[in-house]
Amino acid sequence: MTIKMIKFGILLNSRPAGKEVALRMFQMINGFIDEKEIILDFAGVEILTPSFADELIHSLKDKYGEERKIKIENAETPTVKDTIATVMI
Amino acid sequence: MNIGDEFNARLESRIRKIFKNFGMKDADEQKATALVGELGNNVFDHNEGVWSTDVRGAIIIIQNYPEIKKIEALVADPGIGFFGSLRGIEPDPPLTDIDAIKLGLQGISGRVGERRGNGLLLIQDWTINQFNGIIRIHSGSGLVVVDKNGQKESNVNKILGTLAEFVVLYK
Repeated sequence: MTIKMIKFGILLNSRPAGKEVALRMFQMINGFIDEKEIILDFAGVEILTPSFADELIHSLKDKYGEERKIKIENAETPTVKDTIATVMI
Repeated sequence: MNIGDEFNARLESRIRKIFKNFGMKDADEQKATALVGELGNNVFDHNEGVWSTDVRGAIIIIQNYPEIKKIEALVADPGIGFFGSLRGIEPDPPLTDIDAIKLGLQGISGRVGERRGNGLLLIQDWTINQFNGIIRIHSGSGLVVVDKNGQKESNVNKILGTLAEFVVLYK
């Protein structure tokens, strides 16, 4: 399933906000038990900070990492690209 | 409202506008906003519940030098500082403020159970490699300055908490 990150804002910052979005995503993803991929689509997101990304992506990996692949799409701006590259290592 | 939420809201409504009004290009303005955002996140992530006094929050000062296209941005807090955050880490806790700042800059975090520390690594990458800039961190009695030539450290007057500053050249 594809989740459009722009729905959470164009500036995604802070660890508590990342946690909140992760919890929201758990609700969304749990309704699609057959989906093998979780695609985070960052089209339109202009700023992503490491705190937000770390909390979100590692919360998703901890919960679904073994059964579902987490993919990133449309990381367009340099801050989003660099942050994703750092956090996904 | 949670004080961290207030910071987050002002990052978008005020700080970002300041950088835009300086005339920075989109990519530079986004990175500068993210730099202030990440430094501010650290203030709240490391101090909530353990503030040194009853004063909470951060002071953010941004100075623009339009003729040479240079920005200095400072995020200051009266919190526990790098040493207070890292003194409990295993197996080699820092012995001084300078040790603690250097560990923080290497990506070591004092928050147990979380993979973190990426923030300061990315802040250094953006500031030094992409903006050809400088980072100054004064925490407790330690001062560490990082630029493309490496790190310089010194013992300075002791302060409560941390002053984290980045100086960047923009286009």
